[in-house]
Amino acid sequence: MPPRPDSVADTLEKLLPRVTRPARYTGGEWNAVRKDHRMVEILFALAFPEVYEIGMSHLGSLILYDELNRREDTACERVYAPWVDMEAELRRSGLPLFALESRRPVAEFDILGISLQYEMNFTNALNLLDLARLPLLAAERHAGHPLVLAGGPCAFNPEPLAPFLDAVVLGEAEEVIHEVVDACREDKRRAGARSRTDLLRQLAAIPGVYVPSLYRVTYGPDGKLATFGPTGPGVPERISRRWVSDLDRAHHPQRPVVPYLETVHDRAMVEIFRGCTRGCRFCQAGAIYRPVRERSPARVRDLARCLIDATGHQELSLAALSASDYSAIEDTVRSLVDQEGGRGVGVSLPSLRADAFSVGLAQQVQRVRKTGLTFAPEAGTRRLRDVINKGVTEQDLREAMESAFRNGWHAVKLYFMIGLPTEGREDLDGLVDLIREGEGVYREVTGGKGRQLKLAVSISPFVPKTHTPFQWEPQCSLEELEERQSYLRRRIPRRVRLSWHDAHLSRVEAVFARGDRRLARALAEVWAMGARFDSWSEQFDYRRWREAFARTGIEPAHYAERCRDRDELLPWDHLDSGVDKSFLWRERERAFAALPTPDCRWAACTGCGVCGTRAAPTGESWGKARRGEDRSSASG
Amino acid sequence: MKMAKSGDARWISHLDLMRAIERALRRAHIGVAYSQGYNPLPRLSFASALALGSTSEAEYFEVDLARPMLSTCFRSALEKQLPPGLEVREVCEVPSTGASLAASVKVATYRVTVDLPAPGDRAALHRAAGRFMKSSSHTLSRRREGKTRLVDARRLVQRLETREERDVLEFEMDIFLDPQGTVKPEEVIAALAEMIPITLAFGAVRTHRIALHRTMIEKGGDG
Ligand code: SF4
Repeated sequence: MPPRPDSVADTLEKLLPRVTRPARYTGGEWNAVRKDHRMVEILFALAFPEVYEIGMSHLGSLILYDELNRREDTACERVYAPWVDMEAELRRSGLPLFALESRRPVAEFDILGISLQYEMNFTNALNLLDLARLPLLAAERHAGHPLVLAGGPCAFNPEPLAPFLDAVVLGEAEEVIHEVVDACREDKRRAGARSRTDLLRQLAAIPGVYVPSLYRVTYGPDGKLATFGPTGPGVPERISRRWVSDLDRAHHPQRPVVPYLETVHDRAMVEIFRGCTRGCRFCQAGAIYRPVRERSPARVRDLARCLIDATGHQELSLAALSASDYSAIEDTVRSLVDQEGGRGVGVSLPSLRADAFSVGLAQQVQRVRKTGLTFAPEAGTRRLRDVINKGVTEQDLREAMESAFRNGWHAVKLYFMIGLPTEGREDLDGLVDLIREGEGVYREVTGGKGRQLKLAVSISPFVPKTHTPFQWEPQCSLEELEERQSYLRRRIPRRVRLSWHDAHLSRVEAVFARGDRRLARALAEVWAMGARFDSWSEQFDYRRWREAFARTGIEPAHYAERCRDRDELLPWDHLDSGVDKSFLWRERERAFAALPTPDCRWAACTGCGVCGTRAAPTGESWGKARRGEDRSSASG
Repeated sequence: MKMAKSGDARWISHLDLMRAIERALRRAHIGVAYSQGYNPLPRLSFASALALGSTSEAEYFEVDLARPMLSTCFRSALEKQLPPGLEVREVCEVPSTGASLAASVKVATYRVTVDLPAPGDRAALHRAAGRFMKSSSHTLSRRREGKTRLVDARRLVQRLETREERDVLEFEMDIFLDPQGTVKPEEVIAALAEMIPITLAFGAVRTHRIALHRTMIEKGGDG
């Protein structure tokens, strides 16, 4: 017999004093939804393979939690990766992984949905299955086990996890999840008569659902993918991503769970728009969330009021991939500051462009609170920024910093990448020059007086991602990355607070980002060797990964450092983000010619293919009208 | 206001609890006064921080209001916005000029329950409590951030009563909240266990705060 919720509670009682931050595991937060399981047909465990404080900050999961719990026939409950101390206690006491709301073991749920945000969480995803006492392999699970579902950006190449997952949801889950739950409910009603395979075949027929086990893969002698295709009729060749066309008609959570613990984004979040068409060529989010869909300012204001009423948060964050690009950003920010300021609520803009306009916005919202400003020029020279299509000029950056320092900011953080395609010594020197320039601007503005500038610089190795124009490109070798790191370390002034993203970690990330199904064995191996929380550099142990690759006959360089041909069959080619492969290749060629491509939001359609025959996305028409812009029709 | 903390709410740390109350006040549309400066914070103060994992029926808070409000209205508005495990017990108006709440409380009363299935252990711990109260001092050394500090636990424990129940030993104690440094009830129990010595299982000790007192308690303990 599996343990009952109350006996879980008893055991938990004894465990909690032994672990750090016990409130990660208690649930019971304000607005948490607890339903009577006898009154619903489907139990959905929504899992985030990271620690509670990170998982609770993820807007996408909040949206899905809300979406599922609005169904009368479904109870959706949350699951996060237990931190290493809690994992040890769970295993020692024999307590299986449980959902926060009811403390019922995850194995008793009908669906376990895992949000895959980052490749370095894959080991945690496996660990969740194991802690829930489920067989890791989908083939070993049957109708009595929860259906293991995955979604999130990593769903755009879930191949390294293929043998462990039952089904994968491509794109914006709120668009497709109801169809999946309906199918599971029907399946459950016919209980007994059907097998897991029947359900999987039915799911595969839903647009946007990918069932890895229904495809066969072969590899050539060169180690490349040779063939990939469905195993039978009724299984689509390609799976297209689902997306919401009108954000105003999409639900936005109004009563999100309010954690006790201080989470990474400890604030109310209003999603002001989805997607970004700036077209940075390294950026996967810019490809898989196209096109831009805005929420109307009136709706944003309503939501803001609702959210503060329902949560009591002290801060309201306007969530988007690049908040300063929202058409009505100035008016919206001003009215929100007026509307919410009276009750001590501050507004925050998490993602700002590096220009004076954005600093102006930041100035408005931070009239009182002066936290640091962050800019991401990404590369050191104009040429390289044109290669990656990051349309930030030296001028923009200079003006942004000038304006920031004039307005009393003393802390600025700059983000850069190294190892970008075509990067050379001049680009590294350019990066150092930008940092020095920043310091120079500060001296000019403050006249050498005043407080010391707190300049922080964060440098990460470039990791080529699928569905981007750089999906064919090699990642720099480890030696080369380390060489460039030390080149920079010798040149960046010591007073700058410098942080490095671990090159070894980025290397493993690059292997899995463009991995195929053969990596599954390496993943299971490294998990069995104890790999957990690999996104945390203090938990990440490269030796373990190297050993696991060696034991399973995986050559990491084949995945990370190899330049793919144009006609190579890529392991994720059957997963259609909506952006045409030919567009990506064209963008790649423009990259090597250092030719920028404009943002289709303000200029003509650049033909990525997303909009296709679908009506041009609504919800932003008022924004265009306001700017008096006439955009050619959005047909791919 | 006086609040109680029970059930899973005992796993909310002191800082998190302050934030939870702040949010409940905002949800209740109670007009709280804010501090001046870079980072305006609601004027919310507490009497004495409670250790993580303890329950309590005597958590005191003071909140400055920007708009005056009847205490009954305050109470009913706030009550509706409190998460499970947090409860308002009393609300009253106090002049804003008084001494800080934290400085005015002097003594805390706790009930500590120790799971001890073996009758021999219960008897031994019971006797240890008696010896502790009869002694004139009992020094504990604490290491924090590499420094060792000595505290006289006996001086701080003003009363210690012991009651044996089925499988458990129950203590009630008054502890002096000396601004120079005080002792936690769990530390007292650990000190008693060490006198025997026995080792107590993790999670075997449960602490509940019964009361806070503004003045020293007159009657002494049994020591
Ligand atoms: S199809 Fe055209 S308008 Fe639509 S997102 Fe792509 S480039 Fe922009």
